[in-house]
Amino acid sequence: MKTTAMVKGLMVLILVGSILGCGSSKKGAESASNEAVELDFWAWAPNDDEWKQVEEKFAAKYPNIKINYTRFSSQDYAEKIRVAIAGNSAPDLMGFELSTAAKYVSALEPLAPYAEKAWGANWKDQFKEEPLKQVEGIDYKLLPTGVAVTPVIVYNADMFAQVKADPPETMEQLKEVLKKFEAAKLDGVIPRLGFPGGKNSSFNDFYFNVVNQVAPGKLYEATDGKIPFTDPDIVKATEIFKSFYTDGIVQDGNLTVAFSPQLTDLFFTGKKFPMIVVGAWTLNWIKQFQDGGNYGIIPVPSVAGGKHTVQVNADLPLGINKNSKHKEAAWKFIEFMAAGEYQQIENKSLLFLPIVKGIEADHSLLTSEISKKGAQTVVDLAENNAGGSRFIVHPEISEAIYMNLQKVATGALTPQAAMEEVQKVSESVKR
Amino acid sequence: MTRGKYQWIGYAYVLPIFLFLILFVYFGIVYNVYISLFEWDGIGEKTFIGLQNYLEMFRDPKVYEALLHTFQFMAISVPCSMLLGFIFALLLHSIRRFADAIKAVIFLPYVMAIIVIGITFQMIYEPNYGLLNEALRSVHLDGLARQWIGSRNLALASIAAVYVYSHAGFYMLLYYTSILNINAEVFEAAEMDGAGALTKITRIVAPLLKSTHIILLILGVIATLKVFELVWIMTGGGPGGATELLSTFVFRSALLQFEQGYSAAISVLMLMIALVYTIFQLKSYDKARR
Repeated sequence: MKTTAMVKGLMVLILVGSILGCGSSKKGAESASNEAVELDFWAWAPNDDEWKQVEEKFAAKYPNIKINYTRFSSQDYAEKIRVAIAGNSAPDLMGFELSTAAKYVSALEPLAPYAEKAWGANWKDQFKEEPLKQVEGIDYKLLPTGVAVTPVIVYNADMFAQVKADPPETMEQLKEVLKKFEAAKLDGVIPRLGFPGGKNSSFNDFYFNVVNQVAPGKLYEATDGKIPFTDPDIVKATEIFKSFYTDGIVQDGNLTVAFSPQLTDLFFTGKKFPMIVVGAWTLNWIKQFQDGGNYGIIPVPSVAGGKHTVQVNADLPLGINKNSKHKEAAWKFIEFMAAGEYQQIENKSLLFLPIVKGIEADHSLLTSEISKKGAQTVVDLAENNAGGSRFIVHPEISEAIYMNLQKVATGALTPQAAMEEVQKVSESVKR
Repeated sequence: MTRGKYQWIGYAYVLPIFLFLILFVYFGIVYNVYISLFEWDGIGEKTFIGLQNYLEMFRDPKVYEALLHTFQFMAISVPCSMLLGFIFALLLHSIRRFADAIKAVIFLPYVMAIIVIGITFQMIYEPNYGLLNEALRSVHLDGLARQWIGSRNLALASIAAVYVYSHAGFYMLLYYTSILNINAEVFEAAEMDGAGALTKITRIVAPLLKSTHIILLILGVIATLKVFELVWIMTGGGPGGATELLSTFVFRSALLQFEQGYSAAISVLMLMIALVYTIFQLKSYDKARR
C-alpha cells in the first residue's frame, strides 16, 4: 500500500514537472552562414501587398534566410513589443516607433559596426540626413527604412466638386469650406474635418503642427528643457488648437477615434467626411481605394499666418534583438530594407518616402491626376517645409501633452493650465 | 491506510493546481510587491528606491482621480447589475413558457467577448451617426443626442451602462438559482396572508436572499476593480482621463510611460483595497449566516 502510494505520488510529481518544464526551446546556436535560418520579424508595416514583394525579392537574394513576419495594428504594436521585450520573448527583428525607441536601446544590437562593414566608413552619406539624425541619439541601434511626413489633409475631391469648394489653404478658408458642406447637407456626410484624436501619436501630430507653425522650434526647445512649456507662444498655439474644437471644425467624438481602421473606414469606405487630417502614409490607402473616388492631398491650413509645415521622421526603424542567435542573417534583412530593394517597393507603395537619397518619386500606381499631384505635394513638403521631428525624445512628455490636450479639447483645462501640467512632467524627466 | 495516518496522497493530488496557483498567482503578487520598491522602466536595470513609489503615489493627484473614477464606476455598475439581475430573475421565475430561451438570451452578453461588446457599443455611441443618437433624432429627440463616450461628464456612465448590459445575465442566473431554492410553501403562506407581488418581493424574497446579495456584492466589487478591456477598447481612459480607472492607470504607467515600479505600487494599492473589502464583506456574510 505504501509503495503504491509512493508510486502514485511520484507520477504526480513527474506530471507536474513535465508541465512546468514544457516550453519551446528557442533557436539553437548561431547557424553557419549557408545553413537555413528562420528569423521572426514584428512590425506594423509593410502591409500585406508590399510584404509579398519583400518576401519574394529577399528570398531570391538570400534563399537560406526565411523571415516569419507578424504584422500588428499600429494601435497595439507599442504594447505588444514592450511586453515581448520585458518577457524575453522578443523576435529577432523588430520595428519601433521613434517616440519610445530610446527606452529599448538596452535590448538592441548596435548596428553601426554592421553598417560600416557592409557600406564602408561613409555609410551615412547614402541616407537622407535629417531622418538619419533621429537615430543618432540612440547610437544607431535602429536603422530607419523610410521617411514619414505628417500631418496633411486628405480630401475627397468628388465631394468638393459637388459643393463647388476649393481645397482650403488657411484656417479661414477651412471654416468657409465646412460651412459649404454644412449648407449642402450631402447625404450621410459629416461636415467636419475628420480627426483621429484617439491615439496619442495622431493627436500630437496635429497639435505639434500647430505649434510648429505658430512657434517654430519652441516645442523642441521646451522638450530639451531650454524653455518652459508655458512659453506664451506655445500657450498661444494651444489656444489655436483648442479653437478646432470650440469652433466645431473637427468632428464630435473624435477623442476616441483611431486612425486605422476607424477613420480610414469612415473616410474611404463610408464616405462620411469631406476631408481628414492624417499622416501622408494615407497615400497607401488612396492607392487602394482610388477606384471608388478621387482623393487629393493638401498641407494643413496655415494658422495665424504661419507657414505650411510638416513633421518628418525616420519611420519603420528596425533593430536586431541583442539576444538573437542569427544577428548576421538579421543584418542582411535590415540591409535589404534600409538600402536595398525594399526602398523601391516602398517608393511605389507610397506608405513612406524612401530613406535612401536619390530615388525619384514613383507615383505610377496612382491613376488620377489629383492623387498624383497630392503625392508630389507630400514630396515637396518633406523637402521644403519640414518644421521638425514627428516625435519628441521623451515619451513621458509626449503622453503628458496628449492627456492634457485632451482635457483642453473637452474644456476641463485651459490651455495655460494644460501647459503647466506638461511643464511639471517635463521638470521630472531626467535629461 | 488508517484514518489516523497522514493522508499525504490527497495533498499530492492537489499539488499540481497548488503549484499552478503559486507560480501564476502568488509569485506574481510577491514579485509585484518586490518590483514596487524599484525605479524601473521594465526593460533596463532596476534601481532600488524603497518606498519612494508609494510616497509618490500618495502625492499624485492622478492616482486619486483614477481611484475616484473606479469607485464611481463601481457605484453605478454593481448596484445596477444586481438590481437588473434581480428583476430578470424574478420575471423569469414568474413565467412558464420559453423560460429557458429567455434565460439564454439574457445570459448571452455575459459569454460574449467583452472586446466585441466594447467595439459594438463604441459604434452605437458614435455621436455623428451612431445608432443611439440616430434613434433619438428619428423620434425628434435631437436635444438628447450627446457625445456619449466623447464627453467628460457622460463617458464613465456610458461605459458603466455597457458593463451592466454585459453582466446582468450573470447576476440574473445567480439570483434565479437562489430564488429556486426558496421553499414554495413560503410563497403559498404569503399568498394566503394576502401578500401582493411587491410585498412578496420586498418582504420575503429579498430578505431571504441576503447571503446571495453579499456574495454578489463581493464578486461585483472585485470584478469592477479589475475592469480594463472594456474601458481601454471604448475610450482608452479618455477623453482627457475622464474614464481613467486604477486598472487603466496601471497599464498606462507600465506600458506607455515606462514606469514599471510605480505601476507595481499602484497595483499593490488595488490589491489592498480588494483584500480589505473582502475581509469586511466576509465578516458581514458570517454575521448574516448566524
